[in-house]
Amino acid sequence: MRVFLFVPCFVDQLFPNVAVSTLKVLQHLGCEVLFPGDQTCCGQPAYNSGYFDEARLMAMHQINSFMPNSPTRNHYSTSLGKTESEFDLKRDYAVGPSGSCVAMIRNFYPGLLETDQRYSQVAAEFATRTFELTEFINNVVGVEKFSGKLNAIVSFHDSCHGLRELGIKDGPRNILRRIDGLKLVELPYNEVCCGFGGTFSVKFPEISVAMADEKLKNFSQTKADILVSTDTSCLMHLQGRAKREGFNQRFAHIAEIMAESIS
Amino acid sequence: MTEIEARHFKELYKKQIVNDQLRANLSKATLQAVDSRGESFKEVDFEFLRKQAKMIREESVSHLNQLLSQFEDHARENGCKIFYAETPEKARAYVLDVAMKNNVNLIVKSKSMVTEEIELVPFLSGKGIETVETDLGEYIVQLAKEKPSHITTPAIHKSRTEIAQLFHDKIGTEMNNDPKFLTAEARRVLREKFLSANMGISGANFLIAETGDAVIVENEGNARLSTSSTDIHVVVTGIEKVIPKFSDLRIFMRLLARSSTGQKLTSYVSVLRGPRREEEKDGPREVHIVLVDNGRSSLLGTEHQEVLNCIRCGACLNVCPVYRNIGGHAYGSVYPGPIGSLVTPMYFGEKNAPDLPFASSLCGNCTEVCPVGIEIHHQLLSLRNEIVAAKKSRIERFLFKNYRKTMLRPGRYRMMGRFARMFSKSALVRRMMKQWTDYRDLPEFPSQSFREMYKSGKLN
Amino acid sequence: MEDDREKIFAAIRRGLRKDQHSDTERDGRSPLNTPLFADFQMRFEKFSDELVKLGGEAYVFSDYQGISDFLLEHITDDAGVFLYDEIREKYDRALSELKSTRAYKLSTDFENGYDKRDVAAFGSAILPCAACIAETGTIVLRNNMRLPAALATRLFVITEPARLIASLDELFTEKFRDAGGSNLFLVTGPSRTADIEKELVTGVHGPKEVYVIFHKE
Ligand code: SF4
Repeated sequence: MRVFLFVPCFVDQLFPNVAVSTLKVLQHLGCEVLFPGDQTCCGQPAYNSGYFDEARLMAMHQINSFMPNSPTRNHYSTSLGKTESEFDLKRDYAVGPSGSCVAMIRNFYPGLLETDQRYSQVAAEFATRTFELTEFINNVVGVEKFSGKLNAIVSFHDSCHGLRELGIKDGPRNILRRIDGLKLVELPYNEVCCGFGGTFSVKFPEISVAMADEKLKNFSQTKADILVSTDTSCLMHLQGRAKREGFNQRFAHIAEIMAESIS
Repeated sequence: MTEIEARHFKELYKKQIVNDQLRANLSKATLQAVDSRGESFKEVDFEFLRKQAKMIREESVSHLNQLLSQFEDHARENGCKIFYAETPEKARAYVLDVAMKNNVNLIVKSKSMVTEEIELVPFLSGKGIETVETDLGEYIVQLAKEKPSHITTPAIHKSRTEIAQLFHDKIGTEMNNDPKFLTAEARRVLREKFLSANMGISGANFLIAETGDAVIVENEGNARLSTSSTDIHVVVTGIEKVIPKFSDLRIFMRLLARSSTGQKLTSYVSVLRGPRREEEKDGPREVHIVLVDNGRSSLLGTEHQEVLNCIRCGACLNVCPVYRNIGGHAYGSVYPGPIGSLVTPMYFGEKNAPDLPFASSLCGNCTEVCPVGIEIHHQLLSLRNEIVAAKKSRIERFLFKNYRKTMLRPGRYRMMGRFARMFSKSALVRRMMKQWTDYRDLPEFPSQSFREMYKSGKLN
Repeated sequence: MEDDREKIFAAIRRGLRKDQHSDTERDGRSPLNTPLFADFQMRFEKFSDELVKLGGEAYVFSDYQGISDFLLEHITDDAGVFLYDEIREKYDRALSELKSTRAYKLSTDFENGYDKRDVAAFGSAILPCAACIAETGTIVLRNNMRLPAALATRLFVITEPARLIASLDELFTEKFRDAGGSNLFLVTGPSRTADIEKELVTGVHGPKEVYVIFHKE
């Protein structure tokens, strides 16, 4: 099974370990993993801020970076880290460690590129080949192929985009349950947003952190050591707030937990 | 029309969010509503109901002209008078006219969001006609000279102690914060109002095209009294409230109460078919139905048409974490919460509520619970796009343009990333990130990005 | 006063030009997860369950004496009873003691319509109903009952088993749509509010107590 890594820009720049862990887990599960080096940002920040034109260009770029030899290729593509071969819409998978960025590609690219003759078809097909990591493991690879061992008490935070845009609910929990020694304690009100919301977090920071504080309060109640999620953005926000408020639990992406449990 | 306060959202919410008492009141009340909502849907198939409801509402809105004229014909046959008002002024003038012609001096009114929208009560009171809100929550808010902060639970922001104090000051009750006591006091005062009033005003939850019925849903019995205890009853509602068939109520009745309060059905549902008949012994002798447009028709045929499907259940407010933290008054509009962030700019103009569509983390919980399947958070996104296109915030435009340029050139992206990480501790970067760093720590910036590690080959 | 009908209709037509789709087919299935039963006893249990949860009460009596005792036991004040004429016609044998010991007035005594102050003065109202709904514990009233059902402190409904329908699906049908008169009123439990800190309080404006009696012959 061939997988092209989709590494969201802030994961690439700020949380490389999440991407490294993703790579490791996928290889461990027997996938052949490639990384298209021209990818940058999926365009979600622009899209969510109402800058649809900017987002559209980024969406095109993102697709080009996975398919540099396709007729849609643009002149910005460089040779850096060029994929050995094209992403094949019939058989390859794009997999990323973020429910939110995957939702951008899966749910919003098709609409955004719908009226563009060159891209509409490709975008629609690419959308169906793009998966969030835990989704990919549950729905494509088969969760039973995975097992690990790690002593920890964790809680799981459902990211809103994972939960509501992609319908990810049991998948990550199924994975965590396959880790020996790991105890999963459910968070009260686990479907309530943590308050990150992209640019919302800096446009309305007081509301954003009030929401984070609720989440942290609920997390503390669980007495778990680690808060695990499919989305680094939620974790960055919660961890940033937790540190500021003097909490000292750990916040980890599920890929990191999986990678640790198999090493 | 008075000034639209929603323009000042940024100042308003900052005042509310520091009010811990308010947030505690809201949190308790909304979470309780969310829990009972979930419980109440166990007995029925929510997705089935929602699909049917969405379909029926879509049919209603997309046949609005046919259905309205059908409704109008039947309502007239039943003996009602119909009045269409394009603007709030027109609607207010008509209601005043009816009141004057009949020498009305006391009006009992039940809950209606449209009357809030057109500011009917202050208008009538200003003309010397005492107009009393009879829904307990609305009555509390009216006594406090405030506006409702929730579309179905108007006094959700007030604690029992605050209400006890208010009653003590305004209607002279003893200081006792037991809700039972307070409710009994309100009953006593309002009962007398019902018995003396000579006109009643209500809203309508649904208008039925095939019968001309107005359907009103409530729990307290005040709507029933407002519509039955006086000789004149005026319904004030929006043109979009019409649904095709009487039998469609089997869908909406099951959804509405569950969505708002987690009840299977509200205590009272009144299906009103005009004034009392010759042989009947109660009910008003005159029924007027005022159908208000106020911007609704301008949404037809646009991307926002589906917003007209709303049945004002309030579920989206209860689940909204933003609403829960800032309360209804922060929105500066009679329509707060997610639906308010759509309706306010749509009815009153995007210029008058430029921040509301952005005040959402887009978590989508609203969309998840909406009983008529409105894609609320996607509607917010498309409003954002319209506002951005019309607005000239130069700095923001500049930033997004540069961001786009960076993201389209992998080389530039690589370099920018490296710089950002290198200078992450510098005062300049910190200052640029003030809106983040004032409230939260930044993560430790790694020395190498993933792509740098990947390229260096040390990952394989 | 001239209204804006034409303006509004023109605006609607302008907007809708792009978006006229034809009538949609309704799906007539019941949305209830467990179907409701044909048998009266089972329906009654559901009805009673729902009503009791809301603070009301439901009973089945097979003799007039039972009804009579029940009413006497529950109507202890001397605020008077509003008695709907149809009840007197059907259940007079259950009312003789009540009528001789309590002040009452018949609906037919109000020749020119009810006076709201008079009706408000009654402590209890005894009414017939068009139907009861098991699904929700609801009473369905029609015509001439707006005021008594809303103003009395205690509401009694006396009816027969055949009136107990299973669900809202049976209510919102042609039978009730075309029944005539100016209104259809559903009453589901006592009047209530949760406007103060979401704490449930009953008897806001309407009845504090609701009793439904089925007379089974
Ligand atoms: S938008 Fe949906 S959830 Fe919100 S009030 Fe309207 S119908 Fe209810």
